[in-house]
Amino acid sequence: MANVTLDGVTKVFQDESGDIVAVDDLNLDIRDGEFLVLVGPSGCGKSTTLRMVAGLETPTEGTIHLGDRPITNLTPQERDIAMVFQSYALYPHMTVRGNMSFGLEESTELSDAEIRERVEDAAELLGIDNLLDRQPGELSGGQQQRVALGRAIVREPEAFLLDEPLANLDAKLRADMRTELQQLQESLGTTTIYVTHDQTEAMTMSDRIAVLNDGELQQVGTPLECYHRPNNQFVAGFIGEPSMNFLPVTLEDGTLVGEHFEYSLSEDVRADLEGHSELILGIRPEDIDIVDSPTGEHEFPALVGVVEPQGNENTVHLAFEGQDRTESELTATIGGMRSVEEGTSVGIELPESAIHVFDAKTGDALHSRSLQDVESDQPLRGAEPA
Amino acid sequence: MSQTTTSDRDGIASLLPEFNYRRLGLYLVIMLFVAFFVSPIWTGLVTSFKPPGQATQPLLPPGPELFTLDSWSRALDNLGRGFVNSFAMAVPATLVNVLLASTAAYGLTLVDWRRQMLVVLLFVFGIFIPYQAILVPLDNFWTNIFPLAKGLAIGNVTVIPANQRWGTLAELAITHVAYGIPICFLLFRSYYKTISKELIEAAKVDGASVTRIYTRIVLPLSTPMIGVVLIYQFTQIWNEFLFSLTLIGSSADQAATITLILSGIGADLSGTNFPLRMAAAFLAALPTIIIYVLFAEQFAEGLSAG
Repeated sequence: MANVTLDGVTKVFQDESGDIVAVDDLNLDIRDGEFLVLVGPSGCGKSTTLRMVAGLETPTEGTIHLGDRPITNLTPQERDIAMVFQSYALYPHMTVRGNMSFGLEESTELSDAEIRERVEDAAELLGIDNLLDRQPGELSGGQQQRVALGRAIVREPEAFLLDEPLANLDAKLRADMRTELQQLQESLGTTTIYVTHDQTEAMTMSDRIAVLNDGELQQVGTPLECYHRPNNQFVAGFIGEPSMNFLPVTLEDGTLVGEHFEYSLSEDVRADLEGHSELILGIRPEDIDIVDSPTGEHEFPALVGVVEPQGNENTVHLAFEGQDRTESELTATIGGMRSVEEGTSVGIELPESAIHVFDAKTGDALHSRSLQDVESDQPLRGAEPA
Repeated sequence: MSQTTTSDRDGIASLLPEFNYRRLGLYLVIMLFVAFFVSPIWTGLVTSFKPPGQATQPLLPPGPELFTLDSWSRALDNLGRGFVNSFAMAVPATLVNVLLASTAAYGLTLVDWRRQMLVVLLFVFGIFIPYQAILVPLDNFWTNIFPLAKGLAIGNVTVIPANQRWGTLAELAITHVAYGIPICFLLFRSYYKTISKELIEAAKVDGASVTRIYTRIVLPLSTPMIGVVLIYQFTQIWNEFLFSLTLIGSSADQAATITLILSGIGADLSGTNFPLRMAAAFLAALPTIIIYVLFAEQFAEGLSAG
């Protein structure tokens, strides 16, 4: 096992219409035994990055190290890594046993008996020991997924690379496999790079998240860091479901002025925003509180649009007073037992401790929420009075 | 219950399918086609069982007093040498063809390297070279530049002993391999393009080398296309006439292939022996028919996959 270091890695694809920069000067250090999730929208370069670590693409610039070993120009065969593909890529003409033994037969000098033992151990770990003599075509999607994982585990490689391994499973199975994969990685302790476009997978499974957009690294950090301390507007919007609300505002005399509201700022926040005027106010849906009528400082009159009940919580679309209800600008999540009627007028509170402020031009985060009341806030949410 | 299902037609009429003019027309056309395709085979077959000179009514089978297998046994005698020669030439040529075309297609489709498209185009260009255009240089090559039939010696060491019959057949086989590769390459290439790239990548990450990926992944997955190419190429080589005529020349030659002998059989100054010609034609076609039957399943699978 080893750490993986990407240093200034750039990948440029040549196309008839010119050069396409898929990955731009990526620096990333994945620690030994870490579960790192590369996340971003499609086309952000996350799969290309993974393929470069696997050796299936050659970086245009930069170096990749596996432990102390430079692997930038090695072929995939020489790298000692295992990869799980989105399509699973099982060898259709071989049995499950054949699929799992293949890598060991090709890359090691192990005897047949040792290979047999390793394959059977791995199969048992994954609960597929009864499928060893079946062909991949006879297996369900979830079983094929396990075989693909087994094929990687059995090699005991320096690092696992997983390219959207759960994308082809149905929602229920995906949630189960998420937990299982996480437990598996913890018990094996192998350095893992996991690519996904699904922020839920990124949040729930990873030790650290690396958010990519347009081939550029936006932020690396623990899931909570990315959630509460996003580097920029992109990360803030990408991590979290439903996404953070963004309101374009201008800073005038220590007040944020939006199209339908004015938001006064305390001294602390003002200090963070000095020298900027075009801003974006960000607030997470769960931080917006709905009250009967606006009375306090950061409370505003609003109209209720569509309400989406989810059982444990309701997602409420809101519009500021003076706006049409259909062009709702805000999304709030409130406790599932609270009833809010579509079309009614309510007050919304945007607590100052929970706001994020971004520069409108660069998207950089200028002010992030205070974390003091996050912990005490969360457990009480369900018990809030209606 | 019967009241609810009562139709306009009662009694026996309701048991018969409704008479339909469109359907009748369709059957007539189908029968016409069947007659069109079957009649030459039928005519040939019934003629081959008649004695020579009695084959005046091509569509009618011979009566019991005229029925004879004489033509078949004579045809077999005449074609015997041709069968041996054609098999000796066509079987190795087909196998080498499949092997070379599939490795070439693998290397040019599933292995990435620079400028490979130029080589692919060269292969494709090979398909369009007309046989007639290369007959003279081909003959010149095998008689003057590389006369394999006269044996091959490097210095004083004999690599291939001189043998007119087998040497000439070897020349013919090599010629067929060379001219068969482009089209077989294209068939394999189109098939390999349907193999998932991730499958090859998975094998690479698993540590398999380029040749191991071919032998352990690509070749086992190629069986349907190997079936197609085997049938196609064997039939092509077996039925080929122009190269045989150019390199061997006459049906009297020891190396004469089956098509060469077939062209002259049953025709002499006394007239044409139709029963003999027909029996010989059926015998000569037999191996290709057997091959089709043997590999029919792979053929269908390969065609739908490719």
